[in-house]
Amino acid sequence: MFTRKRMLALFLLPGLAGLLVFYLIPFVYGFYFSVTDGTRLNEYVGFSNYLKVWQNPMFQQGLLTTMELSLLCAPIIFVLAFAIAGMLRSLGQGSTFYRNALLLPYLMPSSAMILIWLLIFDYSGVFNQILVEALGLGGERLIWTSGPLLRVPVILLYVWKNLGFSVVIFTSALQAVPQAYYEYASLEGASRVKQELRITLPLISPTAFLVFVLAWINAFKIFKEIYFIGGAYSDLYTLQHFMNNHFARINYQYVTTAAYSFAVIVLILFGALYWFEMRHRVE
Amino acid sequence: MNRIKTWCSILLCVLLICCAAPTVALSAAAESGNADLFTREVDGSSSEYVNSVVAVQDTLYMLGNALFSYRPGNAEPQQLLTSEQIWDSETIYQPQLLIGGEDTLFALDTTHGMLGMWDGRRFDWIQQLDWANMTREVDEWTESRSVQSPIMADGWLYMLVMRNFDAWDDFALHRYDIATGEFTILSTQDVLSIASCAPGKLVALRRDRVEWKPSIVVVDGVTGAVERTLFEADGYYGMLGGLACDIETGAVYVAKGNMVVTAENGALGEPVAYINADASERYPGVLLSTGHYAVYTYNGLFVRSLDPQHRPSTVLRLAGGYMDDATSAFARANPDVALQTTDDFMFTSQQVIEALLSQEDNVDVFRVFSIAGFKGLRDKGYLADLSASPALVAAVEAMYPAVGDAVLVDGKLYGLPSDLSLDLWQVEVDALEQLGLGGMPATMLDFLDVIERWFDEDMADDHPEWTLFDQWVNKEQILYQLVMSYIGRYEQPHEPLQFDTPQLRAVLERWEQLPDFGQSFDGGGTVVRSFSSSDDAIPLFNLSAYPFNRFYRGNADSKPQMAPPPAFIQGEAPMVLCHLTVYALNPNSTQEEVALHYLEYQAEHGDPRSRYMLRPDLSEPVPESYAIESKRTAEQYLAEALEKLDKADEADIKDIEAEIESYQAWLDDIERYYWMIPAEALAEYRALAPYFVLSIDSVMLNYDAGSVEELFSDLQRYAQGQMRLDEMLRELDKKSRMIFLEGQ
Repeated sequence: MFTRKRMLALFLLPGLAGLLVFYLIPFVYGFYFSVTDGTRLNEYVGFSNYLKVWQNPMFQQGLLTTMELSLLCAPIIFVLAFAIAGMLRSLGQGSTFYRNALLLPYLMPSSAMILIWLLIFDYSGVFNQILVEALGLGGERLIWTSGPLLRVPVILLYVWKNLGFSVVIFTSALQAVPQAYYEYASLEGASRVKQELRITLPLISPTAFLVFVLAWINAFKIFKEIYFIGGAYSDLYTLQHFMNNHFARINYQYVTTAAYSFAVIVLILFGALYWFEMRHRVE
Repeated sequence: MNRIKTWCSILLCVLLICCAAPTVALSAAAESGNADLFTREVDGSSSEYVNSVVAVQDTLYMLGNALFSYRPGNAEPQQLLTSEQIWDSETIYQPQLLIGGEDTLFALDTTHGMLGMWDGRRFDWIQQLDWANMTREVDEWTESRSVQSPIMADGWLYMLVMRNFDAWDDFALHRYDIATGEFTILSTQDVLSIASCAPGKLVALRRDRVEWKPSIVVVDGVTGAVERTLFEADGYYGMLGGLACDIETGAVYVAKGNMVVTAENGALGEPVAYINADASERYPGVLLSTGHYAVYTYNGLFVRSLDPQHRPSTVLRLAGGYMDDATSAFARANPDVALQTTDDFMFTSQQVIEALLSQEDNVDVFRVFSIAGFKGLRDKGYLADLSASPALVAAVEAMYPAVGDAVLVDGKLYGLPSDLSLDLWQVEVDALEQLGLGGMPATMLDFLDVIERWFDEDMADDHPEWTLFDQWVNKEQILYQLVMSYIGRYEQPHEPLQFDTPQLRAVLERWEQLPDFGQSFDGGGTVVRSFSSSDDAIPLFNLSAYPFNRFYRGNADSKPQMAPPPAFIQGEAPMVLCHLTVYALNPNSTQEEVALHYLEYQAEHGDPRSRYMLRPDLSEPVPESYAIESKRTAEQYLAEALEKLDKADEADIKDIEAEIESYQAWLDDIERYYWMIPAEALAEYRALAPYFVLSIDSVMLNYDAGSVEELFSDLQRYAQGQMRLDEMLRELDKKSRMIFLEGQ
């Protein structure tokens, strides 16, 4: 028994060491940076950095944009993934090919996808050529890589990349729902939509919650797509832009302050979401 | 009595040590055999001209105006042939390149293709090489195709020959049979220098002509086929030169900048020796049988022992610098300090910090730019305080107040300004008036009017001696110039810069109406400029004058004036945007004392043009060092000719008068380039100094904030027609506000 426990600890050690070195220590050390003045000597300044960052209009802007994007993208992913998973379920064995095809973007490197997106949404790109020339809309090309229209390629890219993974999760959850429920509901005259809302969703609510949480977390991380398409000061200025730009200006204290502030906000939000899910979970 | 004896003994010991120490030091230097020969001084003058250096066993041979030999350990080179002996009009052939590599010294007459062998007193011309198509007559001169890196190996003569008269930097590797004079061309491409490395093998330094990647390869001595690659760079790598090979051990040496390193197993090794200049890829190195490496550079000929015992104990690492004259002179004055320069220019403060914190590189001194995060580094304590050096403080206090205030804050000195880069134009004001274009434009709108008139009235065809701009200017670059000037003039530290203003709108609307102009390549690869009809035309506006030609006063045909860019509104005061370059000390440096000493040397001996631009107290015009010697020589020849004229026979008078005329023309020519800093140009510069605005506080022109990239991205889209003016101004205003607010 004692030997087994020792062996267990030995196998866990590398992972725990990695967790310690790459997560826990930096987490604590990062907090230390957030309470110093950001000079080479790192003098303690208390929580003045937090006050300064919270009062910064660009931090506020970044926070709003990050929340906006996450509240747009997560529901889109959720609804689309649920609908597509439902359609794939009805295909039966034939759904494998489509599922794999949907998963491919998730496996592709982001940098390659961004390059493709830049070509598609470039001023002379395919999108403008289709819209303006093929469809003949007004004769003037649109600028997709800046301004309010930047949302279109960014959200499309995010959804295209992450949809497949959510579909796969939903698909496996849907397979666990007994078919008898749907047969009974059909006999009772329930429509397809009602069946999905009243039978499927409640029964797979833990999985649905997981999908939503993952989609929301990934939406918070949208940055490099915006950065490479729209630049460091675009209309979609997120919290990561704030941190990235301050890192470039060697204001490390503001980077860590913003990061820890955001971590607290996310913890509160997910705490609320988890509480809501626990209250409405079907056992 | 005993006490007196004791004190006398102590005094004698001290005297003995003081006398012995220099002797020991000199002995140590002499023992190493290290030497700097024919060096170029801080003022640019050189003790002797040398352009061909070879080794034969333990002796170095050098050819320039005269022929010299040198053995490591000797005090001075020995002259073997004087200039008169070499260029004796009674001999047909002259040695123009030396050839070493085996047991005998050879020379090549590159005009006639004759190979000569040194017999201890003179060259015996022994073999005519196949030299067909190697020369051509140009205006009564015989021009030869360039030859470099000739060596003897295995009884064959190898050399790099320019493929044709216009193929700059494109050399073919020739292999000559000494017995017959015939040659074959080896297949190796893009070769810059060669050395013998083993029987039947050569080692070659190459540079790819497309991507400029250097490589060092071993090639077959008969076919030129590449057998092995000793080193290949991933991309642009900076200067490599001084290739040499030890035939006995097979070790290959190359100079990377000012460091001599080995090349093997695909990589360059650690420095084995240091020279006081950057090597050139054109000049190969040589190895002597005494274990010394020698290489000729622009700053002189350097002989270094490869014995690790003789390596300097102290290494001072400079990043973002190069072996300028002052650095080279400092190295010569301090032979116990090895200077390691890298051309890693730091364009952001993040790069500086990474280098600061990286123990592996351990850089001691950086060159930091004011638009690349200097202020942030200064305020956050990443630059060491230099105020311990009164000399440095005094040097900075003598500079223009704006410059001094940038580096001297609260009694602490954070760097030594080394260069001032100015947004200052050189304008042919008189020519503009003569051409009816109204002299120096008062406003940007007037400037754009001049451009439009130049094209509308086809002035390039009517006045081929003038062109509108210097080389690589096009319509898009005029746009950048306009916006940069606008930023420099109107950016304030306490509010975001507004771009959508009447003055900028007016200028950009006017810019839009200009014809599209610039440069392109014709079918033959020649550059064609739409704003000039002659390659030799003088630019009316030079928008990108650099510090090294800042004080240029032109010549007989050209008299440019220094002028700030025009204002945006009539009557506005002039404004000259300036960017500062600063030498800064790494606070983690372990060589602080040596670094301070180096910076003090730079403060006193740095490039005169930079010092004059930074310091208002310097007022004496400065001549070009090489012009002083030329003028002295010309005056001497003129005096001799005048003396000859007094005593000349009637028959000789005409010839001597022609000679006098030629010397006077020579002196007139010297006068045009005599002054590095002419009094007139200096006065112009000093008059503009009150209008200097330092970019150190600029947010819009700061690479750290990423604003420069954002700015250029929008300007580029606007220039290419992807954005209308309204949209572009709106974008710039939005980004300006964001950048400003982010930094609050």
